[in-house]
Amino acid sequence: MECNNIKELFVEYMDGSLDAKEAQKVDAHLSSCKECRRELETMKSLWFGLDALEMEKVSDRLKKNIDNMIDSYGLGIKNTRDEKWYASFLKWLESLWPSRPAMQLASTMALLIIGLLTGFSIGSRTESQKEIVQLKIDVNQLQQVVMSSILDQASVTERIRGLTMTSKMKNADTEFYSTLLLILNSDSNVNVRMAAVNALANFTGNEYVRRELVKSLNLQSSPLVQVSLIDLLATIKEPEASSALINIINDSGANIHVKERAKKALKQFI
Amino acid sequence: MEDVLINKNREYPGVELLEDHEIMVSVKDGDVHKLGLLFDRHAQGLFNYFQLQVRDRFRSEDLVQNVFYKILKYRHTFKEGADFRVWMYAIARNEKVNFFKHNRSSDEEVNPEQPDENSNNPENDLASKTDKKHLGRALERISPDSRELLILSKYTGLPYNRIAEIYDCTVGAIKVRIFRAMQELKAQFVNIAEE
Repeated sequence: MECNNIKELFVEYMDGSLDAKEAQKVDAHLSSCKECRRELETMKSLWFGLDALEMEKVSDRLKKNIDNMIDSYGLGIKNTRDEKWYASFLKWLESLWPSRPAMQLASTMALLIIGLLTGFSIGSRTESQKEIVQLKIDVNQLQQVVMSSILDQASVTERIRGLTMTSKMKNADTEFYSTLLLILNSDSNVNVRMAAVNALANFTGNEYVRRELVKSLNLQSSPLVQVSLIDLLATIKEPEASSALINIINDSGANIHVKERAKKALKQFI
Repeated sequence: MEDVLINKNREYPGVELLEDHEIMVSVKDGDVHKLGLLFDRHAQGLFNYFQLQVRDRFRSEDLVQNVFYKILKYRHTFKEGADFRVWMYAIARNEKVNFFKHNRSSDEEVNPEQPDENSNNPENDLASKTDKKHLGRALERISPDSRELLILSKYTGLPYNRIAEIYDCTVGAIKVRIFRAMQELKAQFVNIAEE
């Protein structure tokens, strides 16, 4: 067997995955070929040297982020499961949904108006409060459809545009908030996460949103997002934030600018 | 919301006996909290995969998170009986390609002219320490394809037949490519030692 053919078996020879018959061939060749013996020695030191390279360990922060992402996602699925008879209709509607946020908003507005008009006409005709309640629920479900289509946008610009448009929405519900929070805690792009902070700033009247914003402070890796979250919590004077701010100030690994901002914000609470 | 948080508990009895693909099928069926188990099993390998190519801890962790987000988002596309790691690393390779497409400044190719700022440091005189440093640098200098292949075979625990599936080629072809990558590594290692 030629040297080159033998050398191609070196990787398996080194990690012991070569079958006995082929290993014997390599052994026989090595005993008579000095060059291949030398080549194998070098290869061995590099191959096992690679095993000895020190790898950094995955941080606890990443574990927390993943847990949070799974929680938020799980919540979204649970809500989808709670859907009733109109679920299949909404799925069909989603398939027709335009991909551009501008079109999405326009369609939402149109449907909203139709919904309200229908609601009023039913109300005036039959005065059945039950049906109006049902229509209101449908409108809330539509918000979810809008949000899930933002989540599906591949481009960062489109996701940011979608988030900016949510400021026009009113009467949002918990599912809507949890989607915004999911984006805040798990979007891969810093600018999108920043846009999510701005979008959530419109809903700080809600206790759930305020509580989750405080939680998110410990989950963020980017100093930019941390700073804008601190600023937001300081503006709304969220009392629950003080312990999270103290944690940041005492955290030796935290970014110096973030720490400064946290100190400044904390003074506003005292 | 409380019941969702309670489900986060990863202590599923007998879970160590479950294969990755069985867990993934549960995730696909809506038990998304089981994804935490797959994270515990594979996050380190996946992190190594990105860290050795991107060479930035925070970006690598972001990429790991992206992969797990995609796994959730596209869980319906996981085929029953498929190998979870092959599927996961196929997603990871996509993320890596997108990353380098959008981050041209941190180019996949390392400039070979870059001087080793530590080569004259007396603290590095220990042979093994220097060798490790040289080996790390040699790994940075080989072609991106060879580097990815060596990383997959050394730091992710994937067997050759699974790597072959990721690359959609035969096991024999993968072994030859790994050998070529090792020769490239050797050439760079020798170059660095002589600098």
